[in-house]
Amino acid sequence: MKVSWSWISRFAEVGDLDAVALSTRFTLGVAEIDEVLRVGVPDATLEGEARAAALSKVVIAKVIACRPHPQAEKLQLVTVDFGGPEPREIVSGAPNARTGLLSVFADEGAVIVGKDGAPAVLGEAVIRGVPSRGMLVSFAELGIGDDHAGVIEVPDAIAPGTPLAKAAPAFDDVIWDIDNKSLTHRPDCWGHVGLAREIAALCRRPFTWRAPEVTFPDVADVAVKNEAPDLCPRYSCFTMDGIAVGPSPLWMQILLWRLGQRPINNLVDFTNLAMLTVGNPLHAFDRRQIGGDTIVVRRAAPDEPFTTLDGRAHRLTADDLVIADARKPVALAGVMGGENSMVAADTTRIVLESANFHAGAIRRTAVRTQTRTDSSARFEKSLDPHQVWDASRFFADLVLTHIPGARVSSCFEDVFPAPPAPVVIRTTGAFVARRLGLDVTAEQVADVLGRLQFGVTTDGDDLTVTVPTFRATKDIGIPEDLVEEVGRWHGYDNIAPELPAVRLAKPFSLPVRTVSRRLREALSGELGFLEAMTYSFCRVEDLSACGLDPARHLALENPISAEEPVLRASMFPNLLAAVIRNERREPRQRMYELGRVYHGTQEGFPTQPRIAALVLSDRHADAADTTLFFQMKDAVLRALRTQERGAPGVERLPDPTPFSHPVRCARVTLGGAPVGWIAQVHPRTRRQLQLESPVVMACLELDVIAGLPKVVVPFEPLPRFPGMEHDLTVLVPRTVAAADVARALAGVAPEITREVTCFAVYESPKFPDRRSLSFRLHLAHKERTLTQEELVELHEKAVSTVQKTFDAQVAS
Amino acid sequence: MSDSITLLKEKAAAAITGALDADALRELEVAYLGKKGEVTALLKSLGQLAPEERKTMGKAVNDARAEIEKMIADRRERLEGEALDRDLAETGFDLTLPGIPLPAEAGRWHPISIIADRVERAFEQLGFLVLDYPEVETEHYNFDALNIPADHPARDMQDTFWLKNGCLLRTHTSPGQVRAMHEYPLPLRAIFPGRVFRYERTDASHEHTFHQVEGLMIDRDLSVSNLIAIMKVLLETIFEREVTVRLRPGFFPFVEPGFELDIRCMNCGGAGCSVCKHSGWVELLPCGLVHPNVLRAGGVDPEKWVGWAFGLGLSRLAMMRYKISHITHFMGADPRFLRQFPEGGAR
Repeated sequence: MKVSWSWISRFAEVGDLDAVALSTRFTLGVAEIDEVLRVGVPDATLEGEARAAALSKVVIAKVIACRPHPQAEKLQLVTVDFGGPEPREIVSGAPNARTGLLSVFADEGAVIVGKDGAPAVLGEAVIRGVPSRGMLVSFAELGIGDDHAGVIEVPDAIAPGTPLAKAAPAFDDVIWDIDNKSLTHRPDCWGHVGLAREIAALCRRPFTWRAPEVTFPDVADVAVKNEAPDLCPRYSCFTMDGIAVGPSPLWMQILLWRLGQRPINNLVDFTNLAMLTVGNPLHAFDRRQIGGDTIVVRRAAPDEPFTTLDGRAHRLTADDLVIADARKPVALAGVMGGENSMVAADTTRIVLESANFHAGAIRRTAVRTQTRTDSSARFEKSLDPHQVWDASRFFADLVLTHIPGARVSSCFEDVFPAPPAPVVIRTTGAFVARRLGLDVTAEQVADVLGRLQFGVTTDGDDLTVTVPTFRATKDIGIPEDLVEEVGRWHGYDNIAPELPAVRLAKPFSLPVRTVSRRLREALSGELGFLEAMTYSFCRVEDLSACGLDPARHLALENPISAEEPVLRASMFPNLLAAVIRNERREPRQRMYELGRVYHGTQEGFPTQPRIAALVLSDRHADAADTTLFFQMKDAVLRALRTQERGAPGVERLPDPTPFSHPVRCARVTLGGAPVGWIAQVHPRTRRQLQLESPVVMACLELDVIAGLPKVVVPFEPLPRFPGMEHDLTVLVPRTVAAADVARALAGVAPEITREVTCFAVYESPKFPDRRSLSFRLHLAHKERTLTQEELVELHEKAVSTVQKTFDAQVAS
Repeated sequence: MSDSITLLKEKAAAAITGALDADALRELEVAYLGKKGEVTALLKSLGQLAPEERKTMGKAVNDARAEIEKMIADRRERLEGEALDRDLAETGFDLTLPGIPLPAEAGRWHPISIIADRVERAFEQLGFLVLDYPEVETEHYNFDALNIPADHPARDMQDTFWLKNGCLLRTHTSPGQVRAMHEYPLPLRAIFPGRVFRYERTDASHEHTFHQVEGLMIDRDLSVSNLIAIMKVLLETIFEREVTVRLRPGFFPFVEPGFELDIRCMNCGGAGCSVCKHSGWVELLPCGLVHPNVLRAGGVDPEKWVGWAFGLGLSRLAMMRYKISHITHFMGADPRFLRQFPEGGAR
């Protein structure tokens, strides 16, 4: 919202303060100012006297004679009286330059906005052979709005030579642009009067605004029938006669431009200015268009047609509130007036509506009809119904002042059945001081609140605070709200930071966080994985390629795109998509994600287990090769060993996912409990996804791991006697599991065999059905050194065992 | 002419049935359907025919072409199916074979994890719990319990992803406040980091999925002064340098008073630059004293307890720390991005 400092200064004694410097104090105490603009001289580098000199060159001027330019058809030689010692003849190309026109003259030395948008200093020019000094200017050339159709036409009588800055204070002004979002909770700050009140309080200056006095005759014209008092707490209107529609005075046009409003005509401008000043939107109806003599405030009939004054046709619902005459709606309440009742050039009688509407209802209608207006933006903040009266008088006073012959021709018809009860809050000085951590007394609190127009009585430390109506609609209702008032007025910068003194508590960490952290440390550490993140949404196409049914996923009501309508129930469709995106550049990928997947039905709260999902890809690998699988196995088992929850292992997986290879898959166990799986991507899935690289995936369920008991492996005494290692290579049928062979070998002489590991695997086309496995037996005796004889005996027993049990051939 | 078409079809059918692998099929495809293929040659020869005949024969050739195409496609699918069956039926796969260590390579933490870890460790050292709450939330925890009633413009401000089952994707980490109050005894000190969602189009600085950390402290007597001190300590720990902060009023229905916390721009030191939009300050996080209604929703008596809370954008922080220009990098899973962050992650 744009704020004019010159207009603020009309309502509080702050005109001598530096509006640029004060903007920081306002940001810290009230609401965020996005931008501060000093306007009037387009060149921001000019300051002090140079700036004042440039400003003084822009004055009111009257055209006293015109004659054609000798060389150019579209130019004229125009004689202007600009208050100088004698009139001056200049060259003008303005289509509206004519004798008698009152306009604005920029003399040599003035700074205007040049054709390229950059500041330009005026000097003497020779235009088609005729020298010319100074020029008549358009609004746009002065940096006011965007109207450059012709030179300014001054509608009101101002003496030639009057500096424009004097005739129109908003010409030389400071404009604040306040972030609207930061005013969401401040319905009182949506007009200059409310802002002036805040600024006056912050600066400890008097707030001087009073609504003008207006006399309403005791004559009824239009009656009001409020059929929806729940949506319209207050509705008032009155009639004015003798209206002549025309331009607004120059100062008002410039002020409106500065506030971001295009001047239209006096009636529209007056309602806008009243809204921007008092904060309450108003609406003027042409009295001729109001059928009968009653205005009805009612809910729209279902499907009732209505065309707003922007020409858009709407179909209304029973949730929309309309203002209607006996036959038809004439306005969409609080949002926009109707095309059928707007003021026209020949309007002479108006009915002025000033009302208060229910915030939620206005917001819903504005959103549904896609008609967000300055009016709806204000009403949806919960305006103070008391503003209705002030805004009415402010508007009437503008009309009476600026339209000769206009008069108020009816009483103030006011339907306000239930004025809200005053909000009274009881608190103490100590409470405010404690919450802020700031040394303030009840008296100081009372002083601050008093400046902000609260009613306060003190009794010792006790405070009884009556909230002013303009703060009571939703902003302030509890003692904590008063803490904020005092804090922001004092400035939070004045509160010394102090760490809280607290009682110690028992340490505690979420087990699942410890699990995640250790996995991350292992995977992103020595195992060399990149931690990735992917979206929680997934594409139907990817799900189908993975053999997953989109219908069994949690569906979004409003997906970000139609292709991604569901939440992930597995992390792999998105991770595989990432592998595909990367695979041309990154032939080998090692990535994982820690995150949640979402399971649920249409009812009940979804379960959202935390998962570690790993992928390992190698574009150059042969899909038949199992290296990737066993690399993944190694990585997963190592990562799980960090968990201290028993030994990790793999076993047959009875239920692989539809996108897993049905054979090249394994269940992952930890301390014997299933905690996840490893699988190569199913060839069919690879084809359907157009995934070039063979990929092996691993999935670990973090919540399951976190639920397993901690297993601390006790220390094993160091052997007192030296141990030995014995290697054995066997050629076994490929159907024989290496683990079974190892187990059998360990059972040959269990009392001296500490561990058996398989350390090499060799497959050769020479033996297509067999595989060579090399084992290392770690041997030691607790009470003595092993002898060579024992070793030979063990070897022979081992060989015969594997030969018998596994049909093995031993190379010896 | 029609005879030669029939002959060609029969010849093709035999050849296709006899093809034993994908390569052989591809050769047949070229031989029959390619630019110099037999079907193409037939088509070209149509030009010599009378117009009437050209029409009927043209159709016949095109039908033959379609038939051959289909035969090749069917055969290809069948060959692939057979290959797949052979592949899947392998008997020699032994999952108990030893794992193979991956070649040594440097792993990386995700930048969000690096930042989250710094925040978490700082707060753990201050005695805070680190908690984790659901990403799919109920309307109750995301809005109602946080003092955001149905008509409140705040529900406008945070455009929400709704699920068909009536749940929603949390729009902030704040639902954890009330969940934590329900779960843990008082006094309570906790942070809860996590993924949050806003229904908005993505651009350089907007993302529908991003990361936040919420902080909550409830005790007998806490003040704005304490909040400022904790925030300053936190930010100095994260940024590893002195940080100047300022509070200004901010409106969030779940805190009262509510603040926006700004830090003095670290790029220009406050002199004004493009990072701080020439204001010298960068808006960093909303915070405030917990609204009594939120305490009540968590079963906490606001007469006896007071709380403060903050919500810090982890994505934002990571962008600031590493000068990341585009927020969508975080969710892109692109190794070129992920590899740029320090080895070993935590620090």
